[in-house]
Amino acid sequence: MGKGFLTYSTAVILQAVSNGYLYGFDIIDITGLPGGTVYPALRRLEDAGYLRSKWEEPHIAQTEPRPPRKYYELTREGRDALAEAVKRYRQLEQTQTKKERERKPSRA
Amino acid sequence: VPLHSHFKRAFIRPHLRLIRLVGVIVPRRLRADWRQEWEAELRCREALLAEWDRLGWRNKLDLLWRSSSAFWDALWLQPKRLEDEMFQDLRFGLRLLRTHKGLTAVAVLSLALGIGANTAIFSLADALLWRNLPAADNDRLYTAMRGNGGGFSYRNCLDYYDRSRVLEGMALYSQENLAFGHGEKSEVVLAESITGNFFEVLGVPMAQGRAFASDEDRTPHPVVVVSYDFWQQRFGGDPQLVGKMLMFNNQSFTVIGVTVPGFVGASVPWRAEVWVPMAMRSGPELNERNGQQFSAVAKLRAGVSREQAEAELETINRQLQQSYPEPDWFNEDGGGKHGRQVSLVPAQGIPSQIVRRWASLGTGLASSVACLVLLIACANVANLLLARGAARNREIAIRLAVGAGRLRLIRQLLTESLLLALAGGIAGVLLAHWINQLLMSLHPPLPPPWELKADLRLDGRALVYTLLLSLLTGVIFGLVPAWAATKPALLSALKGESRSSGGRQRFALRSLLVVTQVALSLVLLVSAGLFIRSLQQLQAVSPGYETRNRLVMDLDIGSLGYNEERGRIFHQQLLERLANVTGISAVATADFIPLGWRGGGNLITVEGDQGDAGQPKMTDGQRVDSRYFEAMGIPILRGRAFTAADTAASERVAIVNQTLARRRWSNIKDIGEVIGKRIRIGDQTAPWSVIVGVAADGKYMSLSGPQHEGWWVPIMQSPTGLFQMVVRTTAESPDIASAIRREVAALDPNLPFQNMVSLKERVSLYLWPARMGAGLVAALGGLGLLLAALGLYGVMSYAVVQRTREIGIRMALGAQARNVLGAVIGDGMRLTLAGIVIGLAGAWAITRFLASMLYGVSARDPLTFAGVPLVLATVALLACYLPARKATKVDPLDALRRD
Repeated sequence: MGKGFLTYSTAVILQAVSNGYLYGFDIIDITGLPGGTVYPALRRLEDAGYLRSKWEEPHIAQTEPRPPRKYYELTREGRDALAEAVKRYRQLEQTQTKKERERKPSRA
Repeated sequence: VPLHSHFKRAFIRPHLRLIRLVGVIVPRRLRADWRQEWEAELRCREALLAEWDRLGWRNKLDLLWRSSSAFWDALWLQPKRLEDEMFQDLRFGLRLLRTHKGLTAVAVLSLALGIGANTAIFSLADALLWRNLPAADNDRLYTAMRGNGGGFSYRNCLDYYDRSRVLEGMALYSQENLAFGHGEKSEVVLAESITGNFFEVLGVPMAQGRAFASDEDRTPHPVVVVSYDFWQQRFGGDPQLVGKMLMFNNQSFTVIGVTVPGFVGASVPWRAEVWVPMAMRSGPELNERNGQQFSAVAKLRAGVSREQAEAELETINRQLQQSYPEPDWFNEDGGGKHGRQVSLVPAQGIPSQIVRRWASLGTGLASSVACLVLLIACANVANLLLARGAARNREIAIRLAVGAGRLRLIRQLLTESLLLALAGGIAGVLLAHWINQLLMSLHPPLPPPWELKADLRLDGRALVYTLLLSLLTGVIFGLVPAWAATKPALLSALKGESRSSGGRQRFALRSLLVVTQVALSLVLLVSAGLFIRSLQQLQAVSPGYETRNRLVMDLDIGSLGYNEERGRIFHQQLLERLANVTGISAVATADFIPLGWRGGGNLITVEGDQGDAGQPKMTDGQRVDSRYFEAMGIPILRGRAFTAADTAASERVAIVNQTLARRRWSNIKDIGEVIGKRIRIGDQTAPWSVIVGVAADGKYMSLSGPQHEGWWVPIMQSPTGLFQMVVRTTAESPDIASAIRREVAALDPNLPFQNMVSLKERVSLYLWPARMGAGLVAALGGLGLLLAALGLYGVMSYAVVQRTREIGIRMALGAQARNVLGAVIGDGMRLTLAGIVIGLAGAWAITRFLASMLYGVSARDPLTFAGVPLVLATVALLACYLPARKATKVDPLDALRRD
């Protein structure tokens, strides 16, 4: 993945990780995106250096018992990319609300 | 709960089982992590949702649904596998190809020759046989014909169209020369005279102006559509051309349209430049029912199958035959007594079935030969790779020993051979471009505007073909060496011994490849030998007249609107003018000169009861003037030639050839006896003609083939608008040709000069297929021989290196150089002999398919079958001698110290 803009769903996924949803399934649940979108996106974000993955401590897993889960963290680049994406999408949001505001009087 | 019971249950749960399964396609490097990640997530979720057994079906489905998205995840990881393994293979392969430059160069070159020849021939066959017309809705366009490739008459075509419910349209076209006059000059262009719906049926749009209206062919309209190239080249793309008047055949036509670029008419491989309505043709042929001179292209309605259409058209055909019975002789050649059947073939490539048969015969032969060469090249490269496999024995053994899978190694080696093949393919495309240029320049020597202009392109289709061919060759020549190389005797290979059992096996394989090469190239060479012998025979054929110092040309005064009287005057004046030109010793005219492009003939009936021999029969014949026999150098054996006294007013006379005299009068002792007897030329209403002379036999329509019957009548007794002139000159010089041009232009500046060639050139047109066949097969056969010799040389050199130790021992024990020489050469010649025996058997089986292309030589010509193996054996001897001489230079002490 190049250094271009993040797509909306990738930005959402990055935001979810940043909000503390670290595991794949949690991200699926919170974003509502299908697994077939989330996982490939995670792989690409990791390849691009925006995320880094780690295995959870084995002793946590043993209590359950199950294999250790993999979790994802934002890197510094990831945080910057997310900030930029958020800024851009917020601008977009503002243009929309602005338009709506302009339209309102005429409707009244 | 013990851990193992969890794992046990894991295999029972469908979502976990799915993860196991999908994991198989994840690249191995990532697989364990990938499986763990998914399994952990699923099981964590499961724990959250409480134990599996107590889960409701809705939750179970949810888990299954979640696990199924693992499949997409796994798919997204596939490129990593490619990156990992394939790129590794590719990098390694490229590095090897770069380091072994010599081997790479030889392999790529031999593959390029094979692939290039195949690609070039593919593009030729595509242009001639398979390419769609540049028209819309190609899948519904068919070439319609009757019987064995015959055409339709104009009247019948209208009936087919009117009565049929399956046709969306049926258009007729025929090619003709048009004299295009511009300024003082005039030249011949190739035209198609077409029915008004031609462009509509083909769906060809106009770049400028409009196409013909469908009623514009019912009554004569002097309008013309010109091709894009014609517009660009002769008028520089003048935007005002539409609406202007152009002169064709001394008549002015209004330009109404310009076709889109790339459209050159329906008569592949010729290129039409202008299109005129069929009703502009002069003469009665438009009203004839029995004609078959027009080609037809039919467009079926959507959803109608070819069989349905054929069935319906055949019904109409029957009805038409009942209403307008055809004479028996009309169906003699193709359709039999019951008339010609209508058939449809997809409108691809050459529409004329006769030309198409020639083209498919030629390209079929060429592609078989090219395939053989490619096979020889494959064997050669396989041989090289086997040799290199031996050199890499140690490397491969180490990789196997440290745990590389055999399939993985084979894949690696195959990647290398595919790389070689692709490199060969790329070089082959470049070569094919060049071969295409060569093929274009080798077109038959047809006079303008009839030059064949096949549009050879290395387009997407050709490139896909090349790619597939390269991949196929890569696998063919790569698989066996890869298989052999990955099966080394590990222990001895690791110890660095070269004389392992694997080596011996590899030697056997290499010998087998060499035997194959020798056999294949023998087949090629035998074919080449046969073609060369056939060409010799054909060149030795005497046409029955002199070909040296003769110039032949067409004068089409009929197309310029000359009537009979004006034509006679023109004729007379031209002969008088030419008689005064220095260097010309005789001038004669005829309606056609033999071995040309057109022919003439008519029904011949013999007077009196001659049994079957006297029945009316189509026979080659010419209308000639009084000096024809002298100008052509045809001996009159009995009686007299025509004289100036044989005019329209005098008694009708004829001259026949020896064969006609002997066949039609079987009871005569001397051919002179036929003089004074009468024949009728034409149908029942034609007058009788008295035979006044018997001329020597000659070749009229082809050089090969049996001697035909022939007759001549005075041109003054049956005038013709289109005639040819033969000029007997004292020397062949361009001055005479330009003098003739001057004289003709002085009489009528608008008369285009068509096809002035020497008679020798004309005859060479008939030698062209034989010359091409011999040249092509001999060139490729020589190439095959070279490759086979290289293969033999390689194997023998390898054998000498393998046996260095043995040879050293023998020499230490007293063997002489000539013993060693004999032993090595003996081995090589044994392989050659095996190849020759197999090749002879193959050639014996295959050459009978060539029989139809040979003239005057049997497909099992003993001279060829004996001579070619000798040539091959001589070359093989040389190829073995070089390594054998090297073997005699082995130093016994040195050899014994090895290993």
